[in-house]
Amino acid sequence: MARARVCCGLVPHLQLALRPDLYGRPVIVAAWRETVVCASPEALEAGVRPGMSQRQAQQLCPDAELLEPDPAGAARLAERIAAALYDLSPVVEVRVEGAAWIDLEGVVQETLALREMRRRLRDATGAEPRLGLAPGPFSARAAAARARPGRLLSVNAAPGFLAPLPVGELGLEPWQAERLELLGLRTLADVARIGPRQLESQLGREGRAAALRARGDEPDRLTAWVPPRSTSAHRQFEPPLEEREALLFVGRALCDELALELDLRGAGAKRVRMLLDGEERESLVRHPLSSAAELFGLVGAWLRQWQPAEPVGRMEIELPLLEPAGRRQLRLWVRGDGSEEEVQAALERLQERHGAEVALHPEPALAGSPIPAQRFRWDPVGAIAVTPRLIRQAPQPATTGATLSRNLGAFDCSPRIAKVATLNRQAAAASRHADERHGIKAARKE
Amino acid sequence: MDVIHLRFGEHALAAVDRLPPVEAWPSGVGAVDRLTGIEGLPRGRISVLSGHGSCGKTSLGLALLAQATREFGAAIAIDPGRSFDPWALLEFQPDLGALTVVRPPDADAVGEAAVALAKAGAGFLLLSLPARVAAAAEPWLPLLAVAAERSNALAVALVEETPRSLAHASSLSLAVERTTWKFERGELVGLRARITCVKNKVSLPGRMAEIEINYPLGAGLYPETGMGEVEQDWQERESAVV
Repeated sequence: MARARVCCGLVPHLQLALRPDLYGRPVIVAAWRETVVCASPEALEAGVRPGMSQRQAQQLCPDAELLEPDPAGAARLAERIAAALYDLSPVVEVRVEGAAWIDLEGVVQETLALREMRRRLRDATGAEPRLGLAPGPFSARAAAARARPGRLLSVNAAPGFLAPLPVGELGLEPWQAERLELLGLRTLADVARIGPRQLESQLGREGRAAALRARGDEPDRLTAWVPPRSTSAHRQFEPPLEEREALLFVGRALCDELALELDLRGAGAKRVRMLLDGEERESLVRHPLSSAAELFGLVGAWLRQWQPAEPVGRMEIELPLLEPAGRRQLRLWVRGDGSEEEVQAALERLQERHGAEVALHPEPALAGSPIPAQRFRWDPVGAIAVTPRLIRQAPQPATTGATLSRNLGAFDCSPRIAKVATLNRQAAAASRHADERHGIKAARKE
Repeated sequence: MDVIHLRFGEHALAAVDRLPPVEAWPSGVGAVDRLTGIEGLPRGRISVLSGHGSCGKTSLGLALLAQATREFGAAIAIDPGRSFDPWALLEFQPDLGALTVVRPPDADAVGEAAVALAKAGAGFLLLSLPARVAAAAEPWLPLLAVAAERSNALAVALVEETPRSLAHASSLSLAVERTTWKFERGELVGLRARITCVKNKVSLPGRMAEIEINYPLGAGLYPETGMGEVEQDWQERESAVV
């Protein structure tokens, strides 16, 4: 029996979630004389369907509020949700249709993660999410669709759960659904029985995937959200600007824009670069900057010192190295000994600025040697931060699609790692305690 | 007062009797703990151990560091002179897993490292400051004092001569002075040192104590090594000074 490890949370379409004040009323999101992007449950009850024309939708539900689509806003909201869920699991996927998944493989406190997922989705969208926990993304979504708002439906045996569901769950194209209907396949159990090869001959590659989904084999992989790594903002001046005050004003506006984006992404800037036409200033900051005041503190100082050779035609502020802002307040994320993680982060920053050799751990080598250099081995702090035998195994690509290392490669210092490191340390402490109790201290060092 | 409370918070202005008491960290060296008057080194403050070469201040600092490695999650030795040898520390039975040695490349980086680590909440910082670094410490010492106070970190500086800036920033200053060498069977095995509390913001200054330091003759080869207290001397001095 496959263990439930993927959790899906269903919330209203993110276009609708941008206007939580309209929850409970019929709403249609569609551009003028275009097709319907999404509709609220009240409008769906009246017969409105995504894809139909806006005019037809309004005829079916004349009382509905018509909203202009805001894809950029929905994408920003999706980013914000993904950033919020990324603290719970390194593999997160969020879709604007109102579905979010987290992979719970390796997550130690599953119950806490699920509770937090519910809370964060509710905070972001203003609606109680429906949660489904199952072995894979498809069955998790199907389970979530059958859960009540604010509740979790857990499925351990996906094939048995999926068998009675209608084929509409597979999300096939209309012609494909029609073909299934003609073949007399009405439930997922029917589809599962026919087998992937036979269905592939009827529906193409999609048919194969549909058969595997119906069997509970979960051919789909989560497309893991990757935290943003850089961002920038710029202004073009026509005619070129000469006054320092004007440049300061524009600099402040750019910092405001960037701070807003950092806030949405839950990130902080570790490196700041400013380009004024051909000139460039860059700095690696000690602590990640995330507010407009912090950014302008640096940019404003540069602008005040800057001696312009000629009027400026373009100003750009680039933040080429971002890290999660949670890194700044690790004691909020990690229970008990958050300051240890902050110390680790501070040491890593020192290493970034002055080289790895600036922070070292002494490890006994030949303690009895008369030559001082031989007595200890000096390891840079990052090199032995996590003991390999204690860290949990990363998910295999065959089961998750995006590996753990891919995500953590971008942000090796995420709160997630901090949690893993804390657990490792606790395990090491427990092991040390046991060793000492049994008088085998030497074995632990090896 | 209401305006100040409103603008800067309750902590900005408080009656003397409402100030939080200074938290003491028992250092494991009884003589030092009693000298401070609060039964331990003050947490969230800068303490100074000063004295000329071979007076025992480094041994005393190592004893404190070893105790810190056993009690704090992160104990940091900032060693700009690259002279720190953990071998000397082994006599005090440290937990090396909790020890990190930071070797900043220049004097500015010493301050940067100390402030960053104190801000991050490192439990114990041992700063071994050569004269040139101590002389250039004025810009960052106030920052270190503030950072240590906020995170309750304990910073101990080892210096030969206490510069004015460090004397000003520190809350506790202990002057270490060698009184006599200790010989056994014609061989030098340690020293006796007198510790005088020359500055104390948390209790009465002026107390004195005498300690005995036994030099290590090899890791684990000489069980009597370490630090001992000359109890009788301590009692006599205390009654004479206080």
